[in-house]
Formats: sequence, structure tokens, C-alpha cells
Amino acid sequence: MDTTHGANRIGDGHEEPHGHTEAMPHHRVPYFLIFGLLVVLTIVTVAVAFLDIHSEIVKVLLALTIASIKASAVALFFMHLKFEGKLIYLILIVPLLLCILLVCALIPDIVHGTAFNPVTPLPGASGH
Amino acid sequence: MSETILDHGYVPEEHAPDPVIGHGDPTQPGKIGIWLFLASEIMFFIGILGTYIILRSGAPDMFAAHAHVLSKTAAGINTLVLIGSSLTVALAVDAAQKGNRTRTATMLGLTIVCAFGFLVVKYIEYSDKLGDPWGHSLGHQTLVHTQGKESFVYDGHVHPHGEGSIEVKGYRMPVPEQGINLHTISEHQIKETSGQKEEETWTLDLKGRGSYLRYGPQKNMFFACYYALTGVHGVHVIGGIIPMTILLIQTLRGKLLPFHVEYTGLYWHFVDLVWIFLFPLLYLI
Repeated sequence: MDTTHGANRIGDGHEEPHGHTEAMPHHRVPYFLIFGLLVVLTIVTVAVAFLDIHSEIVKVLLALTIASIKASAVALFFMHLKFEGKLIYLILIVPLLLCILLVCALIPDIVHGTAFNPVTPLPGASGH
Repeated sequence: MSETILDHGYVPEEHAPDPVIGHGDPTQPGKIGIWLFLASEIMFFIGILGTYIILRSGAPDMFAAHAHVLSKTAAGINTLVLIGSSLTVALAVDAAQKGNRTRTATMLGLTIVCAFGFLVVKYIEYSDKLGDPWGHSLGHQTLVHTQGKESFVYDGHVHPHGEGSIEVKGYRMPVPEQGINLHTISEHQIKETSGQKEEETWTLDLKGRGSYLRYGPQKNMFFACYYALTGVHGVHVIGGIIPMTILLIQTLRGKLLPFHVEYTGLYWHFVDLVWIFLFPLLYLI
């Protein structure tokens, strides 16, 4: 099954993202293990949601942390990012930095502090 | 002076520097293309998510109260379905690169089945809120109904019940003196106020019905975000089914296209990735 492409992989054991010119590299990824990890983390996310956490920020950060771990697992192993060269990382880092920049730019609107919202709301205005 | 190929005003293909190999990077141009597309997709989704962040930070309690209406079970099942389809498409790419046609076709087929499964669950969720196109269900509504001197605000699933009346299955409470805002009041709030434990069913005369509001995007900011994000994601799922079906047909006809399968796989993983973030943001917190 593996004769055509396996031939030039004799003595493998380490992947070299830049060096090889093999047309179709395939990587030994433990797909089922990653799938298991994703299912477990999904169950953890749901379980955390049923915990009685009152702090909004803790809830959001916890959910986003678990989601980020899951996203990293999908990107690194399912999308083979772990085996990609610098170019793909370069393409990916730009929108990720822009995402962080965008969310940071939203902070003045998120924070309800006097420094950012100096206008006193009218009495009776709910603000929602 | 000797003649060079440049004197002819064109560079024959065999002499042109290879744009990829020339820079010492063996990444296939197609792969660079699909990653650039995914980069633009990230920006597309962060735009809508940014809107969600702003709106949620303005009314966190309202968002949390309304998230209770959404089915955690349905979304949880959908999460597992998408993760499963991510696994099958990864196995399809692996099989295609190894030249295994039968396995590629099987895995692509399973991925398409999962994608349709996701859409079916999504349809069940949407029709639960919006009603079905045949009018058997009028969806989830908040409505004010007056009978004699008593006014109640109902929140629940509405079905037509013969001529001139409707059946409401859900919760109700008396309309408070200061009145209510149908946009901000949630099922959760009515349940808490009335102390009602179980859903009840009432048959109401349409003549007494006051204002009413469906749990569509018009309900409030939370549902506008919910429909925008899940709707756009649903379109991406459909956008994944189309190329996967084409590739499945090609594979079954004996034409194995490993690079195309790989690029489609990358796109499909991205669709899964977006849902991994939408699930906790919309349903759980």
C-alpha cells in the first residue's frame, strides 16, 4: 500500500518541514487519540457550565481556555500545522495578531469605568 | 553579444524560475492559497464575534438569561458530530495521500453524513424557535393575553388550535403594573417570578391576544448574535458539503485527488474550529 511514497522515507523518525521535496508527505498522527482528547474536553466544557460559578469573567475565561486548547489540538494535528514550514505559520500569525488587536480595541467599550465612559447616564436610563 | 532568452520578450515556461522551489520552500501553492483563505475567514468571524463581545458586555445578565432557552443537548450533540467529522476527514486525507481509494471514499462519505446530521440538528433547533414552514408549529413566543380583567404574559411554544385560538405550552406570570418589555423578558425570568415548576398548556382565544414576539433574531441582541453566528456557520457547513460531494463522486469514478482532498479537509477543520468557539460562547456561558 505504501510502496510509492514510502520508498523515500527509509530511516524516517524525524520530520523535516523544510528539507524534503516529497510530493505527498504523510505524517503519523494519532488521529483517534486527538479525537478522544477533543471529546473529553467537550464533556469538560459542558460540565464546567453546570458548575455554580458566579463570576462572569471566570466563566468566560474558563470556557475560552478549554476552547483554545481544543482549537490548538485541531489545528496542530488534524490540520497538520505541526508539520508545516515557516510560511504557513507566517500566514496564520497575521490574522491571529489582528484578532488580538481588534479585541483590545474593543476594551474601551467593554470597560464601564469613568475613565472610558465619562458621561453620567440620565436617571432612569437602564443602559441596556 | 550572445542571444539570451530575455531578447525574445518572453520566458519559456521551462526556464522560468519556479516561484515556490525558487525560494527554497516546498509548500504547495494550493496549500498556501487555502491557508490565506482561512486567514481571511478568521478575520470574517472575529468581526461578528467582536460585535457579540461588545453587545454581551453591555448586558451580560440579559445574555445569560436568554442563553437558557437554547438547547445545550442539541448543541452538545452537534459538537460531537462536528468533531467526529473532523476525524473522518483527517482519515480521508490520510487515505488519499496513501493512495487508498476505497478508504478515502468511505471517510468522505462519513464526513458528508456528519455534515448533514449537523444541519438536521440545526434545523430542529431553529424550527423550535421560529416554527416550521408548514404552520404546524408557530415557534417559541412571548405574548401578552388578556381575558376579562386578567392579563398574563406567556412564554412558550405556540401551536395553532382550531379556528381563532392557539395553544401555548410553557410558563406564564401576571403582567406587572409597570408593564413589560417583550424583548428583554426571558423564559427563565417568567419561570422564576411565577414559581411554576413544570411547563403547562393553555388554550387561548386569539381575540384576547395582545402583542407577541417570536424568538427570532428580532427578539433581542442575544438572538440577533445567535442567528448571525450560527447562520453564517451553517452556510459554511453547506459550503463544505459541496466540494466534498464533488470529491466523493470523483473518487468513486476512479479519480483520486489527494491535494484537493487535503485542501477541502483543511477548510472542514476550520468549520469545526469555529464551532468549538461558538458552542461555549452561545450555549454555555
